Amino acid sequence: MASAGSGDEKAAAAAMITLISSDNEKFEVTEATATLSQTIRHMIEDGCTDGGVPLPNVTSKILARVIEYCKKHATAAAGEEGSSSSFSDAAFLEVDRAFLEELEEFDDAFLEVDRATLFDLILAANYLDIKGLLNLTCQKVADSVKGKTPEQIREMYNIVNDLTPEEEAEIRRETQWAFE
Amino acid sequence: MSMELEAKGKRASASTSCSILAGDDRLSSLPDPLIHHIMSFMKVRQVVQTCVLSTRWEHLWRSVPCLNIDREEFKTKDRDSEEWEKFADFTDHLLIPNNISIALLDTFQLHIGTDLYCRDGQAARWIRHGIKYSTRQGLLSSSWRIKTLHLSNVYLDSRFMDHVRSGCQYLEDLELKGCRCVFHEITSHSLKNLILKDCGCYRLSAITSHTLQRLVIDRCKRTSDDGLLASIHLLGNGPFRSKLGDDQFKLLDSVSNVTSLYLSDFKAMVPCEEFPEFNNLGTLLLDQCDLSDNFQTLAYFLQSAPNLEKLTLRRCKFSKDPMKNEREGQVEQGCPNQLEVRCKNLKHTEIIYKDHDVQKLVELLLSISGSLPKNNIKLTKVDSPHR
Repeated sequence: MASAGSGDEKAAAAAMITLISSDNEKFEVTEATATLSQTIRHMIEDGCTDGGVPLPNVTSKILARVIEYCKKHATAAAGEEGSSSSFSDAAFLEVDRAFLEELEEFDDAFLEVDRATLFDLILAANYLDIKGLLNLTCQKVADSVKGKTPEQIREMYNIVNDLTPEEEAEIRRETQWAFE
Repeated sequence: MSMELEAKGKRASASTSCSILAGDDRLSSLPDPLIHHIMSFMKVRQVVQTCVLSTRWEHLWRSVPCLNIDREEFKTKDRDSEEWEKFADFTDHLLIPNNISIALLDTFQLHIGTDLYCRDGQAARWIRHGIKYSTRQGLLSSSWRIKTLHLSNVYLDSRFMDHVRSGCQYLEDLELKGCRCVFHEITSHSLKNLILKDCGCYRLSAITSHTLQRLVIDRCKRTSDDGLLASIHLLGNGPFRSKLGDDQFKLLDSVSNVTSLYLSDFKAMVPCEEFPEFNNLGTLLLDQCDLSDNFQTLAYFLQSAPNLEKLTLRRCKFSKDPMKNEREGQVEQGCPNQLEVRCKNLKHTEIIYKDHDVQKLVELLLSISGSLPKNNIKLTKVDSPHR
């Protein structure tokens, strides 16, 4: 058990990846953290990460947040040893539960961002193909409109209604069954 | 006066650049797949209602890949039959092929409340309708391409699983909660994940699938009178105890390809001569199981699961009378002390226990530790809130 430790550390130290944001800031992350992004995982597999991975669609501000998320969740993934057979029902095992709760708390706190940042995170998660982060952020948007009327949603998200009153009335007639 | 106005105007214009940025319609600017992804976390009535937001949104809902039809959305304060009518009317309309692109759906969820009034058969008809129209619309495929089907509190008739098997050939994830099921068996060549929770599976006697990776059967009843029950290997809390009788045993056999098995509140009574081989089993969790059969069942698993890597025993009962510290006759007759242990890859054994009788288990594990070269044993004692 103990013998494995130093070896792992060495391997991890060797596998550092440099990510470069659109504003040219460099971030050093472990491979385990970086590969939460399928996009980066594929780049690593193709061996084109020497000299850093340029991410022209992601600003340093957002990339820093994304890395924060990946670091936390990479340790979570390591805990499961990447085994696909681990079952979520095990969630109520005392041991796992504490850890999952901690992760949930992290996610909740992570989502305490202004709306512009939230959308930047959605786009970054999509571009980098980080499933967990994409789900988390999209869920947040979905939750925010839960139980809201179309009018309220327009107001919340500054959606300009470019339908003429006649058009809107027509659409409402066609989908009357959803508004009753 | 005019100065003040001007000043105000200036301030306004100074902040406009910010407020335009913040006031951007970032939501509508997202590409369709991302809007659809957000919609997949919403319940379907609200998804449809987005059609009046703006021209951008008029038709987006029609091609949403996930439908979450939930009666919750139609709940009124005084639950009346009208509520059901509205819900049924909505769902009927929704599934008209010109409304939702049924053939494009990836996930179909139908949740019907537990209270009152579920018209038998209607919900299952919606699924059949989905199958029918997806194949009519889909030019190439003769099967609905949904991968995920979650149903709760739905009545599922005897032919339901036949329809699903032939009509949903890509289905990977089937979750039934609180459903009344009268079908006899579940057969699938695509399912990876099967969850039955709180269901009445009155006639279910076999699950057959070579693709299944995960099976959860939790708190399911076998018979309508709540005496003997239990769906088989996995079942939950409550006053019921399951015995692994012939029927259940057949089920265990039929899922022997699983990679993880979670047995909960299960009384171990295994007919020794025909315990199935669990060649793919990597993770086994026995939760609040009764292992007072002198660890016979556990022994069978250790003998029959060559690829087991993780074994967890949580709050299990190890002896007939856990409070009594059985000193005499540690190794009782028939105790599997000449085990031919085959799980050489077992790495983690975790025992979460509450009573002293864990000692016997530890002794057993130590006695076979020579056959488990990689095994780590972790013991955690917990209080027992329920007894």
